[in-house]
Amino acid sequence: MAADGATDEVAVSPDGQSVYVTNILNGSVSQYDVGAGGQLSPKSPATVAAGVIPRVVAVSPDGQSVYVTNGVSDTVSQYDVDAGGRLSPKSPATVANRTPTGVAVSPDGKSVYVGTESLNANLPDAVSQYDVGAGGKLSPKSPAELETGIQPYDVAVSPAAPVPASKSQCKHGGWKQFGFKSQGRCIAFVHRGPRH
Amino acid sequence: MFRLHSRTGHRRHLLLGAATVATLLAVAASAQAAPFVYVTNELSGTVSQFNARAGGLLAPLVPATVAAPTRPLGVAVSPDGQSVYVANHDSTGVSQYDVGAGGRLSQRARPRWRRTVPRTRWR
Repeated sequence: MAADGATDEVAVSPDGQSVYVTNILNGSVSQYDVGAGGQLSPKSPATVAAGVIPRVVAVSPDGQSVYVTNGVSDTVSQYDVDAGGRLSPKSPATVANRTPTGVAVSPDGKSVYVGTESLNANLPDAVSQYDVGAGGKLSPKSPAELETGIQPYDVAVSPAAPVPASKSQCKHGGWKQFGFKSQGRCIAFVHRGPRH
Repeated sequence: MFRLHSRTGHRRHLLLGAATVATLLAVAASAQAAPFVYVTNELSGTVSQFNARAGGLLAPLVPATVAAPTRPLGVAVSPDGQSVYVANHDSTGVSQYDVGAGGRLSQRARPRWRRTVPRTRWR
């Protein structure tokens, strides 16, 4: 599949229907539909504008928002995702950062973490943390950054804690592994859902 | 003599049992804790590890970093949250870490196939 400019990072939507690719050289994000057998076909439009040197793309767990780090324009672009998986800029289209690198969304979708390189010797390299507000818009948490090692490159968040999928997983002490107070509560959870 | 020996043996069993229970509890607690965040630091050759507390606010774990091979780049957590994998710029292959109690990483020495089934599932 041809892409525009050098491609850097790929993200797949949670429903598996859309793929997003950052194009470093021309400052855009390509968007594709995933067809039968996993084949990609460009959406219309095929690309949406991002900042200068877009690096990493991440999709929120609910599939409603996409975030892209722009390494040279020092911003994080935020997009709404429509029913067809197409991206459109939120308002505002970007939030400020300092040379962002990797980006990851927490499993509950309420936080976004961004690796932040420092080109200013007086400021440490850091991981920036954002609240995800109404409409998926980012706003800095307080504190906005925590120090990391030198030149943070990528960020990963551990997945949500596992939940039981069947009653049998609750039995024979299995409920303890899911953090329930009793086998009965574990089974009640399975009956209630949500299923994993 | 024999009795003494059997008694100490019994005590040892009890101790072992208690230790196993404590480990299981620690693993269960880690599975339920808030998410953990891992950041590869390319030039310092480390992985920073954080705990996401209430409101998603990050707090460094102790220790704040673990060693990685030179120039670690991409990082990913396995879907069960028990393993972390780090790709490197300067060497082929992927470094693998166990996620311990409280989200702390420890480099895995043994190949993964020895423990493909999480220990906690089988008592």
